[in-house]
Amino acid sequence: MSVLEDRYRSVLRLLPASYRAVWEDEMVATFLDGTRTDDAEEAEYRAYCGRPSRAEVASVAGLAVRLRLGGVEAPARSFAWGEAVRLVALVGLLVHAVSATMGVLQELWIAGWLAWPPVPDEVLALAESGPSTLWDIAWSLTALVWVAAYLALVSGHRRAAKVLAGLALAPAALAAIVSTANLAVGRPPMTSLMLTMWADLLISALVVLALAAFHGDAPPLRPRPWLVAYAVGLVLAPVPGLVFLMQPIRDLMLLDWPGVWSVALVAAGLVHLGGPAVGRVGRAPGWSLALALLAAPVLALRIVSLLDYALSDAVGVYPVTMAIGVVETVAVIAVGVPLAVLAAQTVRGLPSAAPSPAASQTPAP
Amino acid sequence: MTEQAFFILTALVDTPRHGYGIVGEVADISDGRVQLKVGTLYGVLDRLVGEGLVEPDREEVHHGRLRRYYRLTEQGRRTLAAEAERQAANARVAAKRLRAWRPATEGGAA
Repeated sequence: MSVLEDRYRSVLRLLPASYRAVWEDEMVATFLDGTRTDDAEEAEYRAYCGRPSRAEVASVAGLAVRLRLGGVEAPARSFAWGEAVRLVALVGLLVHAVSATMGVLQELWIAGWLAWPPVPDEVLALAESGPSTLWDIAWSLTALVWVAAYLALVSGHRRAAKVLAGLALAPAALAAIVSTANLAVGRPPMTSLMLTMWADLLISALVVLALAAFHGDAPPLRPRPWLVAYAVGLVLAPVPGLVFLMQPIRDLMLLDWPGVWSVALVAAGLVHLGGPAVGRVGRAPGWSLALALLAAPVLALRIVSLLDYALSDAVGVYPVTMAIGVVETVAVIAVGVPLAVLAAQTVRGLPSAAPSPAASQTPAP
Repeated sequence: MTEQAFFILTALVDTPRHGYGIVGEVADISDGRVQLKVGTLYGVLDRLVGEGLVEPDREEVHHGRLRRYYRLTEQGRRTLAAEAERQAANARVAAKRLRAWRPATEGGAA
């Protein structure tokens, strides 16, 4: 076996084993046919130094995504994985869209551009550099690309959604790089919560990658429930701020950003786990898997943010905040483990890849 | 029907072909515009086989490797003919409108 063939077979490992069992040898033969040349020296060079082109690798990767994260006509197991990853991408974009919208409204509010409600003195005191500047507002506006990506996705413009979501990552990536560079040269970083910033960026990047599950075979979305979810998100988003303003002790953060995620996941997990038990609804396999998949980044974000609090001496490091964070961590694990078990049982019970018709048909003599 | 599926079916109209033969024929009949990569070819081919539009024809050994040939089924031929007619009808409508169109400065219908 030449090195080139070996490398191409490595790429084909992206495909499910059941698919490779039928198609691998034929794909390898077709690929090698395309690299054949009459020049013996060139042929030897290609065989031992050649690599599959990026376009060939991309075509196999695209096929792997379509097979593993199946669409409507895929085997049930592949379809459940596809639905789960599509739900994760949707929920991730929804969270970004809601927080971006709220971010802009908050900056306008602190800048005094919104007539109502009046900005309490405590909020102004907390704003690091006083009322929002035009720069603050402009920076928060860049996050609105997430809103555009979300609306593009739910309205069926999948390619636009993928491009926009990729663009939306740029400001967060820039902020993380600048902060890290500042720290490296001894300047104050943009935030003291560096680990949380990078974890947030990594999770956002995974959400953007998850959009690959919206390929040509993916079923169309019903936009209405997801538009309602966006509206409900906007109504619920001020809750953490209101909790902060209404709590009796000011120097305390009862519900931070990872806490919001944790509470939301635990609530959704309990409804999903408990719903059928009280005879209300059946469980969609995609949601079991999606919630189990979402539990991992939520848990990671919660733990990393607690580490950040412990490492930094910034405002917000208080025993009660840490204790609440630990309780949230335990709650996410307590709900995440049964969700993962349920998801594993559900997936195991579904038929996996069906044999390809090409394998079941005997070639004509 | 995607453009790739359309060209793969078209490539199989006259004779059964193996994977690399399909890649070369599709490049020829599309004037080099559609260059199928192997992952793309088999992604479309397995679906066409699944839909019964294409079926395995025979296997041959070439340079020590197995080559599987594919042929168009009767259903595949009918589906391709219907798609070709649909595209031709679309093209006729567009061509007719283009012929009738004259810029306003030339005094024709805008």
